[in-house]
Amino acid sequence: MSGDLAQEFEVRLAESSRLAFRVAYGVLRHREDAEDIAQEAVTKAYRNFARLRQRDRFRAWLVRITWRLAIDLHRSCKRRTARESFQAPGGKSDTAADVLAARERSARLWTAIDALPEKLRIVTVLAGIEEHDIREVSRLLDLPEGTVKSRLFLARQRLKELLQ
Amino acid sequence: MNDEQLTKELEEALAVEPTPQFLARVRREIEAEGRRPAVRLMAAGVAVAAVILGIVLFHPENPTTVESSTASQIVRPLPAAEISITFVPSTPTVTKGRSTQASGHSAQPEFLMDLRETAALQSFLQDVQERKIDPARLEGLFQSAEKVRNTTIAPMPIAAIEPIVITPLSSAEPETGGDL
Repeated sequence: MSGDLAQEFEVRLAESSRLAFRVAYGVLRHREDAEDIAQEAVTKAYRNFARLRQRDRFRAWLVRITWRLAIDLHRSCKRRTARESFQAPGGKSDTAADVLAARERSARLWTAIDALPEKLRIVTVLAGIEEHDIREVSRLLDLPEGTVKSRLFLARQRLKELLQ
Repeated sequence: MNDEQLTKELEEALAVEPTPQFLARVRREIEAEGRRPAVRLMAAGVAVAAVILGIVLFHPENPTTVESSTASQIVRPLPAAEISITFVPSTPTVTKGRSTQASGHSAQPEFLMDLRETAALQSFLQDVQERKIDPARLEGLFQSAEKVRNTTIAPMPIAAIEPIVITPLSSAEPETGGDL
């Protein structure tokens, strides 16, 4: 890879690596696995970066690579038991009861997300990451905004039903 | 649960940060990836060199080349001395009623013989070995067989048969209808 291209990739990497990690985490909910998958996705993107015609589509491209790799790993490790089902919200003032309640809520939420079909799950995860709006999600998934909007609506309805 | 609560919970659930070493690890991997083409090129060079060396060292002295496409030119008849049939009575290879005298990896041609012929030949050889058959008398037997083979049988003369002549029916009186 030429110097300019490598420099450009470095810029893209700096702005997209966290997104790749979060997308992987949204599927795997295991920090180390998510990092491994994000790293693999970035490496794959690096290998093919020179062939990417629309460089401004890099984030979307990386998201799709990461999602696919994460889903593959998730399917192959369905028996995994050591999943992180909790991301502790709040601060140091939380009592043990608060932490336990948050843990339970988070576990229920993830169970509900896992129950969604893949099409609905990816829009839910992407919309939940970094406050992505519908336009951003539609860009990342290369889908019309209307499709994303309807899928997101359907996903939220199902989540609410499952979390009742 | 309303929309706002759900959005908040989703954002909280996904607001996970990678470890501080993550980006550094990714950069290291990419650097290593950047160096890999040179390594791959070197490995490919070594592989090509090994193949060439292998060809040079193990090149057959008499390479087999087929120059002609006609069957008569491709198939070279073996001299009689090269053909030898060995019988192994204890372990015959039988495939679909045929006895296969395969020579394994030998360059000898493969002979396929009928199982009954093989048995008859084996029995004959055994009889010769056990002196049930006198080999001295075989020559005479072969000569008489040869004589019989050379005998021409004259065709039988076709007996003269008189042709059958069927004379047409003729009546002197014209045919008339009979009286009823």
